[in-house]
Amino acid sequence: MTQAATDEVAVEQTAEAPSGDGSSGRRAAIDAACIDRAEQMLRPGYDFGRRFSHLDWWVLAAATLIFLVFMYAGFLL
Amino acid sequence: MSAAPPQSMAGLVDREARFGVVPLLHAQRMYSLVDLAFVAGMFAVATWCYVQGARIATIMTMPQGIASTFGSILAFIALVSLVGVFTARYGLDHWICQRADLGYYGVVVLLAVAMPAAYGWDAINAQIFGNSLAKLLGSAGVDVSGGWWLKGLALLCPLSGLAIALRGPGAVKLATRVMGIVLVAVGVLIVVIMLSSGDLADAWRAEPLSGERADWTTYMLGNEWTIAFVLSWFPVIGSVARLSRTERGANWGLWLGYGVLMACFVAIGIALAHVAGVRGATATGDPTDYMLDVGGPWLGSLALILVGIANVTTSAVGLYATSLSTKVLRPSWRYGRVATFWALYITVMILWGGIWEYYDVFLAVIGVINGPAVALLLADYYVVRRQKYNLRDLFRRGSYRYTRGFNLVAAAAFACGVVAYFAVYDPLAGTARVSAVFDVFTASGFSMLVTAAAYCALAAVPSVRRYLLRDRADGAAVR
Repeated sequence: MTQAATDEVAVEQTAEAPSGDGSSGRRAAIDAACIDRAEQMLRPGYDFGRRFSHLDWWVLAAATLIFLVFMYAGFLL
Repeated sequence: MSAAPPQSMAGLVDREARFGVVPLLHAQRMYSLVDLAFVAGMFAVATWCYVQGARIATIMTMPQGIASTFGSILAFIALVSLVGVFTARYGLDHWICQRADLGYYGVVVLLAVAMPAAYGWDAINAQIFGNSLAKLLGSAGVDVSGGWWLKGLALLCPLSGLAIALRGPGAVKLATRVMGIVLVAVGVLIVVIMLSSGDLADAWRAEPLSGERADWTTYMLGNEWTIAFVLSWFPVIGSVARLSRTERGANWGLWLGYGVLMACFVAIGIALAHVAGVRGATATGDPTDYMLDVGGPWLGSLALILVGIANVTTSAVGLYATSLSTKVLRPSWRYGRVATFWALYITVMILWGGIWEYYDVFLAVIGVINGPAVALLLADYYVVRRQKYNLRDLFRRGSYRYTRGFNLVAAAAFACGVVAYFAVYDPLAGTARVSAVFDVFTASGFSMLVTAAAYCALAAVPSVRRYLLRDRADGAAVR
């Protein structure tokens, strides 16, 4: 769904909402925008940005192990 | 990000992407690793770090406390920072992602329990604010040390914070900058006071403030408190990490901000309490007492003024960030009403006044809720789902409805984690029930381990696996 279509659906539903109550229109617009953005992320070629690499995993695991040792060994100080 | 007119639907969507639940696309993210480290650090570093430090100092020597604090915070922060990886990947608050492991309504129940518990920290913050003001007024000859006076002064903190938070993100951004500068100033001032006091060497060699050197179980109890302290930030991780431009930046930004910076300030709190102890201060556990004891009337009062300013801004940022996360319950709720509700909730906690008295129990509540929640989220995403969500179903009542909106497998694993927690630790008495387990894993650590193991073991059963992975049935797109 394109942004324009999202807006159109939301505006229509706002118009259908009871007088003085814009919350259902707001909710519909937000829900439609969420689905629209989910669709965009599912498209092939969508750029998620730089991924968490294997090197990051190894560094995080090593750091965690080192600080676990700190946690236990602190008792001896 | 190009901003559409606020009154249009496009404007609404634009606003909800930045301040609500709509996913942020990659091009719209704004935080670098350093930005996120600063934002997360400024949110985590507050006077509650000194409260935690003072608490640790009662049962550990200074070197023990500092090693234990850096060790347990930086070991367990890895679990929290890994949540940041996928919130940044999808530009989503982790409460939305949690619909996949808890179910569409299951996440509502968890959020409704976890968020009020997290606000205990704001009540503690407000109480320190009230104590600071009372001591300042006391030094000017005005005695306001009575219970209701203190509560009245404490109320000024969330109310002032609300006034800033209601003015919107511009005011909150300014508050963050003021808070950052003031909190660092408080930390530096305390370090200078301690270094110039000449008592640091004696404090390093001193016994814990309780007077008894900790045995292994008591030492692990201190680690348990610190692990629960780390897990406290789980409810608000997603609202900041989703703004990160890269997954790497999200993970390491959280690690540096919530981990390294927070550990530094808890360590300062431990040192402050020990130096105050060497100078003959009573072990009240209140960092404002220690600041006056160590810094004397002038520098101590300056520290108290800075603490007061920092706590108001912390309250403003806290109300803002958690109000955004609360909107996951109902995206169409107005931000201002949600923030006002939470400010009133903090007011009730201040008037009750029990959060300080039951600090250990409060930490236990945090540990027993957030520990299994983090474990489930990580086990579900990284092990069971192999890092893939059905992104459409995160936003509609599709495969993540499970059984009437609840994932029964996750509920069973969560229950196992809670039972494991209480089986090894009695939070009311503050004692280990099964020392052999508590002494190795702590209660929160064991609870997380049991939750993740139970969930992964259940997921290995073919019929259960089909129940959990119905989000990819019939070739549905996952990513």
